[in-house]
Amino acid sequence: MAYVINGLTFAMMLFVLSAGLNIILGFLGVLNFAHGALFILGAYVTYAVTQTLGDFWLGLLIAPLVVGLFGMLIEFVFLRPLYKRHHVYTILLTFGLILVIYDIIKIIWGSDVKTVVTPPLLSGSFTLFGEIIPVASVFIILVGVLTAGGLWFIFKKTTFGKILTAISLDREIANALGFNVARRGTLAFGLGALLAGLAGVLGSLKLSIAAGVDAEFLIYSFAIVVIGGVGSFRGTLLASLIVGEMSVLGGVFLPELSMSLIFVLLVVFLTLYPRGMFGREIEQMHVPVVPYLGNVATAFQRLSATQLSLLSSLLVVALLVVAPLALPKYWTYLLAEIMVFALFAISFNVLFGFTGMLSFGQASIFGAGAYTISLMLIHVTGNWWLAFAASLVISTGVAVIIGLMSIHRSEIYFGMLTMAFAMLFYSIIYKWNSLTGGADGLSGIPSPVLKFGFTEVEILTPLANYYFILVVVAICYFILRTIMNSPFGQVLLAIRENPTRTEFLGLPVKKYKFIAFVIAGVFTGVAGALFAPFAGTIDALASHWSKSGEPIFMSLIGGISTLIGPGVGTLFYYVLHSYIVSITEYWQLVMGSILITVVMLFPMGITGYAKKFILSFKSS
Amino acid sequence: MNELEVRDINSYYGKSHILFGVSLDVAQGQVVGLIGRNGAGKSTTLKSIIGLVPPRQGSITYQGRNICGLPSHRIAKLGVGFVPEDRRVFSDLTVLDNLEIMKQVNPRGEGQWSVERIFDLFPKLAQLKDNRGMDLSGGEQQMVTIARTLMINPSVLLLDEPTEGLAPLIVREIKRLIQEVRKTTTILLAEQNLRFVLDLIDYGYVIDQGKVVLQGTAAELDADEHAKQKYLGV
Repeated sequence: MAYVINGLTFAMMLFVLSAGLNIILGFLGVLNFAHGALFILGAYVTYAVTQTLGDFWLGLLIAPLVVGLFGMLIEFVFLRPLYKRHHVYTILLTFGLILVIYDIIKIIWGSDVKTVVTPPLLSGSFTLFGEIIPVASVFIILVGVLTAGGLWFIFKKTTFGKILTAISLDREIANALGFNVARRGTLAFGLGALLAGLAGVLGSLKLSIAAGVDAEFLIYSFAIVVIGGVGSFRGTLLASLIVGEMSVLGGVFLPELSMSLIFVLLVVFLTLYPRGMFGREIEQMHVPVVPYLGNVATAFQRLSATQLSLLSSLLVVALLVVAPLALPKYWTYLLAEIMVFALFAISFNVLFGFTGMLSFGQASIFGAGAYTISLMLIHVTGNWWLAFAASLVISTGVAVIIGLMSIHRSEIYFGMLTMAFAMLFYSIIYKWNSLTGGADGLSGIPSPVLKFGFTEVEILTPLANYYFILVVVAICYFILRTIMNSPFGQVLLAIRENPTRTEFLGLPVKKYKFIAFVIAGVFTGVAGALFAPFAGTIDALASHWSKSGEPIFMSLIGGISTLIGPGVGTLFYYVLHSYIVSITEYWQLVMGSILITVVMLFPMGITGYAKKFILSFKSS
Repeated sequence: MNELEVRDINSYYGKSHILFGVSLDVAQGQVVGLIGRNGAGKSTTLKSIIGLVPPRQGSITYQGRNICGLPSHRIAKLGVGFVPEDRRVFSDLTVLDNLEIMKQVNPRGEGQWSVERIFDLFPKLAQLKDNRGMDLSGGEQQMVTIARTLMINPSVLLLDEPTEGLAPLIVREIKRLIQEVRKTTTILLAEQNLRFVLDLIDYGYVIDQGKVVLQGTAAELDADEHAKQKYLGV
């Protein structure tokens, strides 16, 4: 009984948070990754108000308003210019905002954990039917119920709410009928952020406040919005109760499985009932992912097939061969790691920049490759060829499974489905202690032994590792390059530009998408298999969905319209990161700001602009 | 005086060039037809006027004022009422809510269209007022979309294929509605059904492949057998 009350309390916090996420997704089509950060910001503001004014109740009033206004500012300044583009740009922008908000919190409140002093009225507990029930829990449940009632009233009874519903049903027509859709979008985002702030106030009663504790809330909220259905508060409420109780009761009675069960439920809904229990489908955008290229796009592709680009690729390899001679040891080590992640990013971009599929599931495939080779090397064999082959089989298998189940959905649903798989995979790795070492992961992975006929080479020194990785990555790159320059690659580009039209041409789009997913998966798995023995350790975080965000970032910086772009982006990211970390502790603020700037102003990335420059040079 | 003057507009969907220098005049109090096949550029012309597909070249003047480049909602507030094709009623809202929310666009309730007047004229909608948009038939949805736009009391109404895919009985009903509206409102009516428009319009433009290829009074258009064959497939 006490557990049920705990579950209900958790569920109500989740409801308030998810209702906000639902409004933002339903009315603006924005998958707001910064929603968790807004939630924790709400908790910090509550802490600040309670500290300075000595009154939690003022915090309850002020925190949601502050976060709501902050949300309106974010929407107005950053999101509004991006609505006409592919939804990936708004997603990336909210990714960048997380980093910025975390560091703003750090600048204002420092990085130690805070707790809010519970006001006298809410402290203590009472006994009901022999169970001890904390007053704070009752308060949270009450606020949740009032929020549900308030939202019902706003959206069913007021003209403001009805207009918002009309806009979310058909933005274009609402605009043509005289409604200022943009202004109301800001208000809707503000309302969503306000609810995140309110959830933060409730959270401050139960949680230790620190940036990062919001990640779990964010993920559960995504699950709740999808399961309940976009645009339905009734669904959000019911799904919150299911997820809240499953999480708390499951945590008590099925500790190994509770997390995975929620994500299995999420996968089931996304595959079979993408509208959720009571929702409607999100409007699809049908905008290609590569912006602003116009006729230049085809010229780019032609250029990439020329010898010029082959020569530059060979030049890069030559430079990498001699680099260790000129670089300090640390940079040789770092460069090896950069090459591994460059391969990860490049194979991710084969899906994203070349086929138009934004996947958040690549970290799972990377993790599958890394864990398999580690387990093989630790338990089975020191022979790299064998371990690598096994790792390739398993990671390809994971790619096949995720691919088969995800390619039937497109755009935002594909993204959410792959993310659900990533979370499911992560929860399995995290909980399967006996095999994977759980949160601690695996360490002491032995260095691999390469057997060529009768000779054996052990890859031991950093330099040997460097050249070993260089050879494998270079081979992979040239294979990918050949595939992308082939007619098959051209079909993928056609799918990216217009899947419907490609289907009309008689090409089986889903089949091509699936093959692209598997190809990307194979090379992502190779990156994972290279990474683990090189690093010597691997832990669950390597397969966390947020890791899937890194290749997106790197691809965008480097340029998603070229094959080498994400590699350049990876190099740039690492160099920049190590420089910024050396000059400021607020590196997240700087990196987040750079990401936001790139998303808003330079979506073609480094290589995109370089090629445009070369092209204009050639044509003049 | 011309209520609406479209001069030489060129409009694009992304890279595709759709309208090639379309010009037309809609005189006050008239019903003007814009007639052409599927894909001829009728919808794009109406969407260019309301600002959903802003033309890249050319000008659009409404009541002597250049409205080219204004956001759609501003154009609508000035009194240009747009009725989209494919109905697009707000499916989750009731019939009554579909009409009532429009009071926000015209908060002073100026003009003669009100929920009461619409329900008087079309008792069917009054009966259905608590039904959600998604539960209506195609013809009922079409009535709601027209009535919804009338609620802003437009001085010019852009009607995009109001009879598409509807049964003859309902087509007659829609016609009755248009006859009522024309008493007080200027109308630009896009249609591919020549027979439907001929006894409604004062003047007509035939559009084909993004260009105006013919214009004239209803009688003139009807007499041109060659054009009917070539552009309308009648």
